[in-house]
Amino acid sequence: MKFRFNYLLLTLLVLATLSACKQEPIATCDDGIQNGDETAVDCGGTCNACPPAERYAIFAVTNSSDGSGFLVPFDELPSGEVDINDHIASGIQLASTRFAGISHNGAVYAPNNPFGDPGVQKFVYDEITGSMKEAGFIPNGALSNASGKIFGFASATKGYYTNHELNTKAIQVFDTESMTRTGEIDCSAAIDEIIAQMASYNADSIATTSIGGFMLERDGKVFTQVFFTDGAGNEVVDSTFVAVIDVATDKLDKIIQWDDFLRVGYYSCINCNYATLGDDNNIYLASFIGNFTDPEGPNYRAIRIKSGETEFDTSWDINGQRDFPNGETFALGSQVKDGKMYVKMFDVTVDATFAAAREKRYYAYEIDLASKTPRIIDGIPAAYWKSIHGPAIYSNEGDGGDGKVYFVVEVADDNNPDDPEHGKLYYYSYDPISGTSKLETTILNGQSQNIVKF
Amino acid sequence: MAKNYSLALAFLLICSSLFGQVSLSGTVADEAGTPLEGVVVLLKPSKLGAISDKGGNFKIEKVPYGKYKLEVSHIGFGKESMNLELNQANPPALSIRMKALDTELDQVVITGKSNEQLQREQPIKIEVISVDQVMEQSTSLPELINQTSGVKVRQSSGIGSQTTININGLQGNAVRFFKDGIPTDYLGYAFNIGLVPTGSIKNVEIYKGVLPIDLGADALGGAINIITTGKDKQYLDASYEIGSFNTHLVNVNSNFIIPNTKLHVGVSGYYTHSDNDYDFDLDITDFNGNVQTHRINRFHDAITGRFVELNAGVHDTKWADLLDIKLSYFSLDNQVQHGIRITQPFGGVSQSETNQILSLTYNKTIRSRLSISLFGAYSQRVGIDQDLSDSLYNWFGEPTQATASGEFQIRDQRIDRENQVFRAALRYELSDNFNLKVSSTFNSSEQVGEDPYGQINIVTGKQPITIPSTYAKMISGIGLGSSFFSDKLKGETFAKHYMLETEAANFWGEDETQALSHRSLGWGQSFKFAFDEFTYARVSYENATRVPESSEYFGDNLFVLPNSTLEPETSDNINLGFATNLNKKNTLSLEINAYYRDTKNFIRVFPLGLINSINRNSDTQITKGIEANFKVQPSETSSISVAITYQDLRRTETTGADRGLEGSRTPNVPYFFTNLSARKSFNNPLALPLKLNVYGNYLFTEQYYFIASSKLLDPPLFGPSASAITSLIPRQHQVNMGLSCILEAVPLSLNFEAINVLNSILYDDFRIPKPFRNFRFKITYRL
Repeated sequence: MKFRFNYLLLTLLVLATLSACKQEPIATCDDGIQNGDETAVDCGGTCNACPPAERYAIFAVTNSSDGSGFLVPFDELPSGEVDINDHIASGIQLASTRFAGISHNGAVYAPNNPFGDPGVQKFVYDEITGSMKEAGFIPNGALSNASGKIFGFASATKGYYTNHELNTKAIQVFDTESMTRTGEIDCSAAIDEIIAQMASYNADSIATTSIGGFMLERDGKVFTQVFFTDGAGNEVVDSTFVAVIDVATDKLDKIIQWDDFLRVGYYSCINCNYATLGDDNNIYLASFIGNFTDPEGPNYRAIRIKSGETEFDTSWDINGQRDFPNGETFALGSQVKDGKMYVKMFDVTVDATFAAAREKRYYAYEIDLASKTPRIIDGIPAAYWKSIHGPAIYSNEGDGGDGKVYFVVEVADDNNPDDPEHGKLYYYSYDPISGTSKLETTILNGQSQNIVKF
Repeated sequence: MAKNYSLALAFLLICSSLFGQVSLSGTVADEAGTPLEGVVVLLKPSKLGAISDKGGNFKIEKVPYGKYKLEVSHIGFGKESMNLELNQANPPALSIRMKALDTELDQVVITGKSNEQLQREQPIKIEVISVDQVMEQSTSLPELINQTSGVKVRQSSGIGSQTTININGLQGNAVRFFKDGIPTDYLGYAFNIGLVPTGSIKNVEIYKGVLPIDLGADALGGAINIITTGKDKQYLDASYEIGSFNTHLVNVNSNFIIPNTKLHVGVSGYYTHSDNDYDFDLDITDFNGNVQTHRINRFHDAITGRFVELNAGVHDTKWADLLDIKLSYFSLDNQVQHGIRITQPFGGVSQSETNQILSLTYNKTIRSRLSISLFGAYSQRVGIDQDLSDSLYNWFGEPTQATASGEFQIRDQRIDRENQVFRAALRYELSDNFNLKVSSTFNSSEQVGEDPYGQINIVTGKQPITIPSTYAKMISGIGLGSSFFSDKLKGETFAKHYMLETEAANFWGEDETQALSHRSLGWGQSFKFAFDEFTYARVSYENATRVPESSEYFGDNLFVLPNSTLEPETSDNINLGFATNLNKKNTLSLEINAYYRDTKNFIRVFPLGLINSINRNSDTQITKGIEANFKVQPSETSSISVAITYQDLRRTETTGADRGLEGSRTPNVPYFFTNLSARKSFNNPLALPLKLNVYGNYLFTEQYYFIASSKLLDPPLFGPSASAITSLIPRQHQVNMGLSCILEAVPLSLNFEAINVLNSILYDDFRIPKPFRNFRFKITYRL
């Protein structure tokens, strides 16, 4: 009987322990280990939702003739040889892949839907199917020649974009969760005021105004360009106008002016990194292709809006033709880190004939911002001008990342069909701390742009 | 099978003429003297022949002097033949009596063959559509062609819209168009098959694979030759058609022979109009991001085409079998609803064209051995393209936002084009077994334009559109036709020379123009072996070159951009064919053709951005295809035919970033499609003085991509519908039905046709929706 009692006691003890264990998960959401019904360490299940898993994606053009291709996901930063064909089963086919997208808050946003229609297209990674899927689309209007058509993000769930069919003097607001338009920031009063000021000379030739080209958020303000164009699509005033919008109130603060026209961001190439936020919190804006008939040169410039300010820094700009020893030009805007700017440039001036741009002289550069001195980065080969994308930094040291600058490099000679380099695209990294460069990834069977981390 | 001829003629007169040609006519009747309709009368070894009409009458035109074997055949009457010699200008009419077969005898019934059937049996694969036999139908020309195996016509939208014909896997400019054997470049839009009414057409010949040198063309393996009614006969056809979407087609086709002369004059013309305002369903994401399916009405797609042609000439004279001068005028007004895709509607983009054409045809056969054919044409074409709307439009036809830069590219463009075409063709009968053919076609065009908004070459500072562009092409060929074993084995051997000189305006760079020059040779060989009257096998090979058209170099100044660096395409084409009857009565027949093409430098029209497109050389395309045609004729008044085509078009030898497309299907080309046609005639139903024809056809097209996709993602044939994939054109089922009523007392016929009876969702290139169910009514007067 004693034995029986002891046995019963033991059973009750075990049951009590088990039932106590069942109640445990709520109490362990901060224990630093994945337990209970958590889907990751201390998150998911009955704990708070997990932050988005870190993934990478590549927009790869697989048909160079029409720019169609795929958006393919990766679990980690691709390295070594990566064949796009091995990943398309988890990707999504896109009619227009030439202009790649960017990431925001765990999703990828592209400037076209899979049909190729322009707008803001959201893609997410479907954990169940293990593939990319569509998650909402907001069209941004007709295919007019007006400059602009851009989107950007003001907060975790608020985005801005332009739709010239709705309003050429406004910025549209959208909700990134529901992927619906939620409002409009009317800038017409300020724009009309500028037009009125132009009346003395050439306001009559202003056929249309538009907003866009680039869109960047910093410290609660969003910056985007305002264009004043004539019927043929040329800029009427040789000035760069940038609208400054207050995110908290969704109101236009002002439109600032730089006394030389720069087409910032290369026709809304959102993945190109021509308008970036440096690690010094300065906004760097650069022009890719400018006006060759401008007596001041074709506008291969970089200008900036300093941290804490909402006006242009009129004391500073970089003009390759003026400042660099060989008049190196092209695509000045890009990543800024520790007082250095990282860009891809030709080592000579590109003039209206584009003769230099047809040669294999497209290099990775490090520019010292203080002395405005350019230096070709050793170990990254000269390339042909195919990828128009400036370099990318996927994660800084502070984020636990490698802090490296990644350059897209294409070296195949189109005039030599037998060049074994055809069909290969390289990502070279440069480590500013050690000063070393390295071939990180070779992409096969697809022309990609900057890798998107989401 | 006795014969009973009563021939009231003598053929032994000595000919004083060196260049004689005659018309041979007569009547055929049964033993009781009742006229026999549908008797096939053939003059062997020539390919001339005729079919007797309701009164038993037949007439064979333009028969060169010489010795012939006259062969007549008719279902239930068998085949008879006799020898005759023609050597006088006006031979007496023949009167032929045929005796019916004893139906109890186990006898092979021999049916006659029409000229069209004889064409079909050439060593070179030719499909012949006898358009004049279905003239009373309101079926459009693209739809008629679509009913042929191995051929797929796609239109960008409604009536008059641009058509793409795919023949055995090749399409676009790889397929050449001819009118009476002459390349149609000089005709511009006037002979667009989506616009031209069927009333003016006798036959449509579809060449698959090898092209005979008399066509003087550089097609890669496909051609459509539209044969119009000859000018040495007298006729008056008129028709009026009314259809859905405010469609009106008027067609008049006439030729009069001035009594007691060899002179003829004719007037032809057509008027085509359609609003093309058909409905379709479109998922529209509104500006707030909400998706809703809307029933959309096309609102800016009307087309009006007007064509008038006067002709005059002589025929059947000593010095000319035919000499005909034509003066034509064409004008077109066309609203443009959208670009190559339906992404963005336009409300103000338009296109117009005028064309004035002068042409001369001369044909002569000398001593029945040498045939000469000469043709020359000059045309002045003016095209105007405008995108001057001050507003953008949405799909509801509402103006949305003011624009100062047009709806996609502001333009007010005028292009002046001058075209010349000259063709000379000779055929010489070397012996009974051999003939020699020589042909040369020269085609040139010069264009210059203006556009106040035109693009400027920033280096030269000039507008490329204002710089004259020239294009000259000459295709010459020599061929030897042969026949052995009593015509059982026939062959064609030929060689071609291709010459091109072009200089086109340069849109980018220091040079104002870019010049291109090309010379190359090609050759081909074809054989046909006839096992018996109805069973034959055919094999052909051509090393073909296709020199790009001027429009491919220069673009259309609208959606297709110029590309002056285009290289000619080359292709190795092999075609195999086999045809046989499956029963003794020849009421079941089967034809199978297989083809293989290795096409290098393949030129494709690629979308460029969302609106524009451009012709570009790409890599290699390997085409393997098989088509089968099964015909059943349960009775003389009914027929059923099934055509099935499977073609595997794959891209190979890809380079660069496109290597992922190695082995992928060529997009925007259907790869599996079928057509089932059925027809039933009722003679004098309910004792009424009329004939009724009821017909229907069902077209099936398997789903296919319109964007190149990896081979790994090919949807399997008959696999589950993948219509959710936006780059896929879904599976399509189309049923059309028609009823014709041919009155006996007056030369009138009435036709009613229903298209897309099932109200299916049908698509064209780039997933552009086609109309739902729609109707046409046509009245035809034919004298």
